[in-house]
Amino acid sequence: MISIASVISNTLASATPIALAGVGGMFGERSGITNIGLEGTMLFSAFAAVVGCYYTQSPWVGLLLGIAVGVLVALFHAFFCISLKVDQTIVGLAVNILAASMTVYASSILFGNKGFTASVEKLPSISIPGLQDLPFFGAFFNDMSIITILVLPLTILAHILLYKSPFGLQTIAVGQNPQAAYVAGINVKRTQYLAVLLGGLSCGLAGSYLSISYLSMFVRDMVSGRGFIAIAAILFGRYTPFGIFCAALFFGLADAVQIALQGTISIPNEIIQCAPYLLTILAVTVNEARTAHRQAAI
Amino acid sequence: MPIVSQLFNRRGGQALTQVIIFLVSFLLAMVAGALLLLAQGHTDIVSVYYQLLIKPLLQSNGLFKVLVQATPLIFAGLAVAVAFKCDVFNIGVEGQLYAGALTAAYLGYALQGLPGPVHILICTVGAAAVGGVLALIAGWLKVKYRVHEVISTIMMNHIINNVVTLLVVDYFRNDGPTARTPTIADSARLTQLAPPTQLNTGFLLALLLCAALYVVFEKTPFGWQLNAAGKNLCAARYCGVNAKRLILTAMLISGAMAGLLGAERVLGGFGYLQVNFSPGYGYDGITVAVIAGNHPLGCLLMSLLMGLLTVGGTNLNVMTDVPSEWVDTLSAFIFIFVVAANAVLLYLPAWKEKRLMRERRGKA
Repeated sequence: MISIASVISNTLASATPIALAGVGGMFGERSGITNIGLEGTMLFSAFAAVVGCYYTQSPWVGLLLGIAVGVLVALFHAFFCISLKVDQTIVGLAVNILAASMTVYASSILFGNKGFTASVEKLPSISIPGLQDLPFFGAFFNDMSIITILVLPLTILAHILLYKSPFGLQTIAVGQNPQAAYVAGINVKRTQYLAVLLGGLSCGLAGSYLSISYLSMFVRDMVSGRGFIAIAAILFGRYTPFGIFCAALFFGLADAVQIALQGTISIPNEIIQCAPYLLTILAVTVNEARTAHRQAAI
Repeated sequence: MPIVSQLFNRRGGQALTQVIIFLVSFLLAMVAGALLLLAQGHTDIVSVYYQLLIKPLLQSNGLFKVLVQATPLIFAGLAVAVAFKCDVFNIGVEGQLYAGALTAAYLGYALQGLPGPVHILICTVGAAAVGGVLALIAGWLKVKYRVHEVISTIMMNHIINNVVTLLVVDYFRNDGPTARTPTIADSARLTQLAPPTQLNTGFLLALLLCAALYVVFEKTPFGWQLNAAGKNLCAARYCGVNAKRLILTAMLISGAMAGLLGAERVLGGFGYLQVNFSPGYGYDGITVAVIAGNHPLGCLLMSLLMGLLTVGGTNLNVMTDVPSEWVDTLSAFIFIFVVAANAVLLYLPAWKEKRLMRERRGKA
């Protein structure tokens, strides 16, 4: 029997890192800097969060360290892409490769285990007063991670930042036509740097969520494609914060249904587990086909 | 056509410059690696590097062990390089190699009683075809629907890995504790060159492919088109290059190489397919191809070095408290330093010009 409440709460839990990384990563995309390295940035942050938490016994310090490392990795990406003008995909791949090896290396040094780290204290989960007493939907407002609760407010904040603030409008202008933006007096490089760093910040949040809220430890390659699904969410959400938020919910739902279906129907688990990845390819394909169609109509 | 050649000559790709860049990056990476060791509390850095770089070659069969480790990396590096040459990123080598390996393993044990060469030919061609078709799907999605190949191939890696695991565990399973296929027939076995190591004729095939790709890249119209499309797509189109067909062909070849990697591991190495046997050959292939600047001979040399690092890293892992991931970090560092050095060299003239302009403006 599939419990609707558990599907919904799993949807929110799975959508959280994708929405965060997607909405933050969107700023970089909008400024013209694609970040294939979202995956690696999240992995670095997830590890840093556990380290911070382990040595101070405080998940909040872990969260701060996770975010700081996310920003630092984004700075690395920004420096190579913007200042050195290296191919963006190559830099992103470099970040991913470095993250995959360095986190495992550091894990084996600090925790003596290559597969996973020590278990640490999680960030607090909160039940939303009022909503949790609702008759049917109450169950999934109960015991929600504090970062999951932050997703919607952050999406709204991103919307305001993108469309109502000088920075956001400058970011859009830079992404559409850097030369024109430069002539209009915008500091192109600074805008791009800020946009990429914003992506690092939210990837830091997303990575920390995975290791000190979703789980309570770091596991080797724990991001497992979420960074790339976040990029797909950016495309599918048409580069708008609410679009990305909805796309992330969609991917989260696919993941939750996948979890719920395991063992309940006669399809093997391995096939069910493919669903989110298959949907990602489909979503991007449909999206690009639609965009091409619309452009052809104009 | 001097103008045409200028259009494609943005990157100064002289072999000597690349070799110097590599050597400097390698030294810098070793320094960075040493710093990591110091942070870890290691003081005897010279001995670590001795065990990593020199000792594997002094062991009995050491050279052969290095060649065994290098073989899959040559395939992977070439696979990534072919696609990368025309600016397409095949990150899906990791998935395609599993598909190829499964094909080779299945054909290897399902077909019995064939003469050796025929059986091997069927297995390798099958593996190459399956790998190629899978890569072709990503290429087709790219040219038809503009789906970024990095996303599609990464997602396909996850899907293929799941499907292969399912097939091995539920359908092609050998009785026993590990999840693996039955052992292939003797007729499908590649000839072993230096027992007890796993060195086999697959290594010779890798060398052959290296040479073949070198000729294709340097001497054929197709190679010229790949190069042109990678460096300046607009100019290449102007010269009459059919970019879509080019991308599809490059992906097909790339996937076929990945499939051959899987076939070599199954037919020449293990003799069966074990779930999750690859330590990330596909991703190492990216490192190899980028550091080699997509040059087939560079890929060969880089694979040999990475092979040496792998053997040395395994030794370190067993003999000392330096984990093998330290070695992976080392090669990631080389990757980054090479990329950075290329970028600096590429933009050095532009920076110089800018400074000159500023000085002139200052004087005036």
